[in-house]
Amino acid sequence: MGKIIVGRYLPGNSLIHRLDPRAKFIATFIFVAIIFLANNWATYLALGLFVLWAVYLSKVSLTFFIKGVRPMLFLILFTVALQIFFTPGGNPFWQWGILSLSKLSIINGIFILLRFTLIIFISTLLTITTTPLQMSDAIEYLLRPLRKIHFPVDEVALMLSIALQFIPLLSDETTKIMNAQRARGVDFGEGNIIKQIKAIVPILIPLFVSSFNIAYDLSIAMEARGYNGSAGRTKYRQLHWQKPDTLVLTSFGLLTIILLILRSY
Amino acid sequence: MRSKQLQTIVEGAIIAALAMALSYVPHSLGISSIEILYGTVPIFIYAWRRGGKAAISAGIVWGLLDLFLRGFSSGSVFNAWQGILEYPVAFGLLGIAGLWSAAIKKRVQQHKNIYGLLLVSGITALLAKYLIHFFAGVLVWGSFAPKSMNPWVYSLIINGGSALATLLFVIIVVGLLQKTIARFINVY
Repeated sequence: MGKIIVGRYLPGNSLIHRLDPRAKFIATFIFVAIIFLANNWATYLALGLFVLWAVYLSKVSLTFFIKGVRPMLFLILFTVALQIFFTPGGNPFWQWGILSLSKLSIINGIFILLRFTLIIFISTLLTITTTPLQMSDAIEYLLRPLRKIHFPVDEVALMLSIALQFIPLLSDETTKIMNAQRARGVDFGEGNIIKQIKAIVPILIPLFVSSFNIAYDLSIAMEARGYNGSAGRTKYRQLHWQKPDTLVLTSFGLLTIILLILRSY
Repeated sequence: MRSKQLQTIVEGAIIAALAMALSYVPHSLGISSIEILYGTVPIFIYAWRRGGKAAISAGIVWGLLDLFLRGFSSGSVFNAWQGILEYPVAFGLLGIAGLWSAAIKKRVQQHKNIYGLLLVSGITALLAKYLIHFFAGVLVWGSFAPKSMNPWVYSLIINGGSALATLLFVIIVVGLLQKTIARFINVY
């Protein structure tokens, strides 16, 4: 399993790093919604320039963003190929059975490639400038309206922050047990599916025992320190909404208006 | 009774962390989009041990962790609705395995075989989860695929492989570990 990197946060002090995680979270979701307004070269150019400007402000090398595309490369190329060869109409200049190539299909393929790349760039920007704990704080705040329907927002938020703290510990524990099994000759991720599943069974039991023990000790420790429910607790990490956060969301509003204007050309 | 509630919450958090840690265990099924979710078994054991409500919360937490640590990082969120459906909602649905918790505990007390109930609850929860992935896949594919492609077929192919692999994993692991699982879920 090697050394597990939990999240992809890159420490920094850029404007994007300093933004309130709620603003970054909302902005990311706005972006993945408004990207579907793009339908021509002008709209994709506006989106592309906006994303490159955000990347520049983050002071993170463009290489990190390009690397972010790699895990999805197969899916992207597959989708682009489908767009290029299966888009109907548009006076095809090459045809073979159900496959065809036209100017329209090639343009559609390029647009889909840009759409995928821009979404990946913007979500990479969120993950490399925001720690998982900051994201958890943002989620807790954004889920608050769900209290009205009796959704246990405080419980989920508490569980989320505990879980984030314990993933590295449990990952180390998993690695140790896997290494012990490797020493006995077990190959993880090798062989057919049944063999791979059977290899995982011996690591599960010690992990369950260890997890329930950790949970027992932690709950005793929390109770001993006077923990009495999540509601009304004060926070160690406070979120502060500032002027740049409002400006960022305003810039996304402006981008939406620009896209709405450009898409009719 | 405060301490039992606190212990349930903390156990849920640690189990969600374990499920997330197990997501990094390597496996290779030839196609990168097919994935065995090793974390389903810990969530199911927690569901059978603590009931549906607590397990749905733990599932939601696992979904949010997966969204932060893998979804956004790998650029797998293409649409706000898809992000919500495929992470907190789909993972939260794994917790419905806990609806059979009381019945399973009763059978454990009576020293009866629980494999059938474990399978019914696990398979129902997995089907619910992958049904959500299937609909979310249609939602995403509808906006990325050419108009001539059927998004339902594509989503079925992509999600069906992971669903079958994870189902096989649950059937085998629960079958092999049923006696141990009985000891883990027998808490009052």
